[in-house]
Amino acid sequence: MNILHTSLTSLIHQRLQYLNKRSEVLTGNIARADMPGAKRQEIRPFRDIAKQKTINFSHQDSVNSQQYTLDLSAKDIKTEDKEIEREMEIMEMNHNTLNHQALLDIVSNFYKLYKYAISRSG
Amino acid sequence: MSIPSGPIKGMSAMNTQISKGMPTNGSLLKGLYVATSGMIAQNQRTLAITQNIGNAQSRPNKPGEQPYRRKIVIFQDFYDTSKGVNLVRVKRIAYDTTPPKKVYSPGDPGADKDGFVLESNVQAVGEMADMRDASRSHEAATKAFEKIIQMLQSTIGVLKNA
Repeated sequence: MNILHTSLTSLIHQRLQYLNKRSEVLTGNIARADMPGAKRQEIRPFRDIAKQKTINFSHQDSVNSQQYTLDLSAKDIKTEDKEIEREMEIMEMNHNTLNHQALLDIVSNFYKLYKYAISRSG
Repeated sequence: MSIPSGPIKGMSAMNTQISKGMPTNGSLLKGLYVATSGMIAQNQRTLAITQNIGNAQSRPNKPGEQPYRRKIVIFQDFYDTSKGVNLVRVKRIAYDTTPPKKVYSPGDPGADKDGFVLESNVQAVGEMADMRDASRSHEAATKAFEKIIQMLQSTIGVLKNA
């Protein structure tokens, strides 16, 4: 059993990948805000993508790296029928960063737990 | 001073950095590219606006010459194949087709036989509003850049302490 590769860590990894991609999409919106006729782009909700990609947790202890990769394609990014508003994009960007930070805090706590467990056993 | 268009030259430093071994497939780094391209595009827009403001009162030296025409920066969204990401750049600089102002100034060297001289079609107040808009867009791109850097730093922090 590999304690570092669990269904939860896999999910966190994929969620981090999702947030990274979302930051790219949101930054693109901000950069294109002054282009005439530019429409807002948004990545599909994580829940939908995760469902579609059929994340398989049955082999949760496997060291298969593919399990940790969320393959995001151009299809996962949709163009909405509304203009880009810079302020809204910045707000979404802040929201995204906060989510990212929260996930990293969880990862950090995981590592602390593992360290503690190792120190206690050793 | 001419405004550069086409490939974004300002990004060469970042390109060099990445070619030295940094991975290019990371979305966060792509986000940095996008934010940088937005900032550069806004810089070029600001430059054009500054030229417009500077030439708001420009008049021709000789009768019959055309005065300065207001410049308009046109942005373009393009896919950078080497980085695998959509960036923004200045597509071209267009010229405002509004007719120039006709000012009565008989003593001007550029005045015609009736004493009228053509003046640039720049509206200084409108340019100031455009300048403010460009400044806010640049600020938004900078904030996005900072947020991505913050995300990268947090990730590195967690890995460092692991």
